[in-house]
Amino acid sequence: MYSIPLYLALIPYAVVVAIFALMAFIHVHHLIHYGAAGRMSFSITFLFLGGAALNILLTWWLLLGTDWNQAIQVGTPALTSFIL
Amino acid sequence: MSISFKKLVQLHEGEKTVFLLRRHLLIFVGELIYVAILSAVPVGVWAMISYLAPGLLAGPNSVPLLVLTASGYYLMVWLFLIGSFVDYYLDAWIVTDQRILNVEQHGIFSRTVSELDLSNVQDVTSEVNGVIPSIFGFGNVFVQTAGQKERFAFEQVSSPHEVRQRVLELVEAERVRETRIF
Repeated sequence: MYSIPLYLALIPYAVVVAIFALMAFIHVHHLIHYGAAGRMSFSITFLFLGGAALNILLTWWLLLGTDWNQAIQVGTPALTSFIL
Repeated sequence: MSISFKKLVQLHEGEKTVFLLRRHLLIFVGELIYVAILSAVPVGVWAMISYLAPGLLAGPNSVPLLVLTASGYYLMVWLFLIGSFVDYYLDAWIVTDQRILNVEQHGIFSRTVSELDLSNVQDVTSEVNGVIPSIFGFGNVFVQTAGQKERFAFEQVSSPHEVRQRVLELVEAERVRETRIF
């Protein structure tokens, strides 16, 4: 049994956010470049960007006050016994 | 229904766009239902864990880890939504008074633009198959050209019979125009 700091969990999350940001930029660029003038296209783009912003803000709000230096016990007896 | 034609295709001199077709909106609504199901998955997983192993949710690190996981998951679901929309929206058939252009989006980085002259059209067939297409009035239109095995297909478009009729009228008009020129 060993422990790792909680802030290490932010690394995979940052990777997911980076992939999301890159792909979102490409998709929105496609829409703007090839026909964002449509009402439906505009609505979906607005919904998409608004939803993504809401997700990030809600995540930030829920994680306010988290002590990122606390340790995660990897392979705790309780967890291991539950999984196995 | 506007799309930046100039970035996809160059219209000939004097050529006019008659109509633009996309798949029926219901096709995209189907994707929205899929997104709704995917969005419900974490709620189901959370309910299952709280029933089977409530101790997993009670630890001091549980909340931040669950929030980060759920947030990342929903970002990916959201990405799937916009990807589905781009695929739906940028697949289009542009019918001009001289040509039919087929713009197909395959994923993010692949797009195919093909075209055929109306003067080469030999046969246009429309079909509505199934209960849902019959109720909502969408189906396929196949355009057969001379000397080509493969058919040009407008898939899952609204009012396919009317589209076939309009394409046939345009074909006739194009033939008359070409006869006058030569």
